Amino acid sequence: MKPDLHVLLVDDNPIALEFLEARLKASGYRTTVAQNGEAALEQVRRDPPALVVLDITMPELNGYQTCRQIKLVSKEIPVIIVTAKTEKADRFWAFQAGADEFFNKPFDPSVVLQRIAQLLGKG
Amino acid sequence: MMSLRSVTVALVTDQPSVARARERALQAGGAEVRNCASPHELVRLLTTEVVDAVVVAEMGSRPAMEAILGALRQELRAQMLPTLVVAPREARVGDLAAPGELVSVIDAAAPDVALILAVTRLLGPFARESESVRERQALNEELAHRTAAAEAVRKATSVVVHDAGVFLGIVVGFACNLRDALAGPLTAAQSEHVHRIVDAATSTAKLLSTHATSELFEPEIWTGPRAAATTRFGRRMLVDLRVLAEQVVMLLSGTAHQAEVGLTLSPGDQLHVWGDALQLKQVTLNLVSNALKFTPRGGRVDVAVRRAHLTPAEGDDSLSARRRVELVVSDTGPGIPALDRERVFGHGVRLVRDAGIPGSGIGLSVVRELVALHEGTVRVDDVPGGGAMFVVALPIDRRQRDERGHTGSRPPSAYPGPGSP
Repeated sequence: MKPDLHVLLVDDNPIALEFLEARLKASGYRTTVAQNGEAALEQVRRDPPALVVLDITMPELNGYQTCRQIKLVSKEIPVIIVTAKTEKADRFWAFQAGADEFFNKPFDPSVVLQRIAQLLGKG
Repeated sequence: MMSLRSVTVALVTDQPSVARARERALQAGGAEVRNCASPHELVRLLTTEVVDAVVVAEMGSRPAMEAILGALRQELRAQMLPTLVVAPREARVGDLAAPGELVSVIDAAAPDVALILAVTRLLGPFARESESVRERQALNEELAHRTAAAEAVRKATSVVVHDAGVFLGIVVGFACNLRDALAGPLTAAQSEHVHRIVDAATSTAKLLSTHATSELFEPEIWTGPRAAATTRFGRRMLVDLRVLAEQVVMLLSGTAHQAEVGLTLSPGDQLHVWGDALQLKQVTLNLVSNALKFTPRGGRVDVAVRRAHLTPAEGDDSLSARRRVELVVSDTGPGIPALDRERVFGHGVRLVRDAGIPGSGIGLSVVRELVALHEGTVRVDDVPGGGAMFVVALPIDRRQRDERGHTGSRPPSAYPGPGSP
């Protein structure tokens, strides 16, 4: 079991990352959820997570903007971007915004979990 | 009497006094003139408006003139706008044009009438066939309208594809959790079923994203500024069909490799047609990707560009045959039954053999439509030994048409103006 590492999941669709949350919890992570960029940033300031999983298409602050802001708060927090957007450029923009990893939806949560463990030095 | 009525000329010069004088001369000949002071401005103009010819007048230096031609080549790639270079005799710029380019040079000291004559001759048959200004404006408006409609469809499609991806993501995510026994252990049969759900949902998402990012949806083909500048008859330019075929073969070589089908371009000459490079590229893309789709693993697809093949009935003197260039795409697939050869070009038509192969039955109808806009024809023949052969016949560029019996790759002749060395 991983010792209570905090992962923040950000997606405007509350169901979209539920399965990942279930898997993270099953692996011993502590999870919090935010449904928009503003709420995510507030969470990052109040209770800094060990890692953030972030959707791109959200109202107001989108995933790229949110990612940039998170990195301004702390460069140390790894950010994984997950998106159903299909343009090749999205991957480029994600890394431009400072993301540490990028996955297209749909994805296999076991692969993402492996990557999370790696980024947190537990892999 | 020479006239440039209803012809739009891009006038490029970095010397304001030259610009005024040449503009007056071209306007006196009836031309619509668009002024450009730099290669950058020229490129911007070409992406927003239909231009029939470019006049590069007395640029300050030879490098400046080379920069203009360089910008034209880079922007237009397989096509070349008729271009006239006006330069002082002592500038000795007769060698600026590369082989195959429609570039002429005249002496800056030549009278205005020589300038108009040179542009008219460069435009060749096009000048006489060009439509009225009003008709052109109507076509541009219609096209802008269609472009906006196509862009709207593209946007709507991409939203649907995105949302479908989100939902498929939920399906795959939960199914993976089930698969990995997060909700408790599974029997062998349950596990098998869950694996199938994951595979099917993943394939569906892949299919959707491939569709959304396919060539047909490439913004530069349908909805970019280029398309906005295209009339119903296209941006008529001198298009090198061979260069275009090379580009398409290169573009689809990855697809061919994946399908384990050999894709080749038969050797041949450069052959030019007057046409719209983007539309002709679409024709070639549709035919080649179609052939790749229906050719089984280990087969071959060959693309050839050639002068029209003469049947014995037509004989060597057949005028219609000599005036045509053929783009031929042949494959080693199942071929098309004789009864279906006309029907296959219909909108939304799929044949019995197509069952199990993805497609909408639209590609070949688009081919026929675009070929018809170029006053060409498309037919399908047998390949000896099995397979289908699609033959697109297009009217050849007049300059090459007149070279009776000559099969070499001589470039279109340039007008030898008084300034030529």
